[in-house]
Amino acid sequence: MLLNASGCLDGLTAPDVARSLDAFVTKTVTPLPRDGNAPVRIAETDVGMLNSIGLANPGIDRFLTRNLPQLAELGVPIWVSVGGFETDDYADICSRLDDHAEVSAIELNVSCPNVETPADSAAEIVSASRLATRKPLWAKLSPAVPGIAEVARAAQASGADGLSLVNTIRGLKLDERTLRPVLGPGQGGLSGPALKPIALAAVATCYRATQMPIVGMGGVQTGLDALELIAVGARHVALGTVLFADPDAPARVRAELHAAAATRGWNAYEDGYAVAHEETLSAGATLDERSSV
Amino acid sequence: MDVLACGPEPMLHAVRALAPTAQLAWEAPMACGYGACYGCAVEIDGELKRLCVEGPVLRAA
Repeated sequence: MLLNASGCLDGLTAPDVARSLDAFVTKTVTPLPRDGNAPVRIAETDVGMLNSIGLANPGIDRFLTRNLPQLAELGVPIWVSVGGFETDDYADICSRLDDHAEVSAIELNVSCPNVETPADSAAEIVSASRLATRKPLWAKLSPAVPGIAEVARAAQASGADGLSLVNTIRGLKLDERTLRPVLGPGQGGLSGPALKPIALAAVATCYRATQMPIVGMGGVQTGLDALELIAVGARHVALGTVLFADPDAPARVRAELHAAAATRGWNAYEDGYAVAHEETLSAGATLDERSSV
Repeated sequence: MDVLACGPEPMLHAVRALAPTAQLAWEAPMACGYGACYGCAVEIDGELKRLCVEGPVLRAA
């Protein structure tokens, strides 16, 4: 499945882009409405971009009454990204989403780099959310932790159905003239091509640690990028920053992904699932690979 | 009489105070340019406006 990374698309403002995905992931919803962080919110770097939006969202009340009914009309499965500042925030929102049939899955954003990190551990948040809903729960983790395998195992033991890997990683850009931060809040989340090797490592590590279903994301620009994430253990792939520059990316990446699989003699890209973990290619496969380039 | 202004933010705020019907051209770095990312939101009268879809030219009041 091809999805969008949470926060990188507004399904109501850009419904055609949302419809071109296999599922639409909302921006993170919090208990109360949030304006988000003070401008400036966006900065470019040589290798990606920084953002500091700060979970701007209408809050769960208005999300349920206003946004969700409209999102349901998109005709694609809706995943709701849930955020908060303590465990109860997550559990409360999960229980309120539970009886909405139009919600296909819930992604627990326990790793936003632009707001204060919840004091409670990912495992506590997943456990409480698990008790509050029967919906599939995906835990979205940060790659900026010393032991992501431990966090992944804890999320699994707490009842998560899958992992979303990775969130952005904190970065800073200075104004060249003033040597002060460009972004209003100072630091922001780094995304784009710089994130891809980090995402590949995180997905590979968490696949080995848990064998859970994983939505891989981070710096995907092409179908080959997507196939690499699948090769290290992602079942699904999400597009983030690329959507800003190329709203047609979903169709293009999907076509490139099928082509990249066909080049390898596979019927479907799923044939590439976790192949990077197989120890070595056979001599024949290596040759095929060379002759196809 | 129409008042139109573009320029530094402090100047735009000063124009707002003088001419509530002025049309002001705001600027902010944008990521997507189609309303999806909320990167270009600026606060006008306590309300956030996405300059790419609600602006970039906004009434002062």
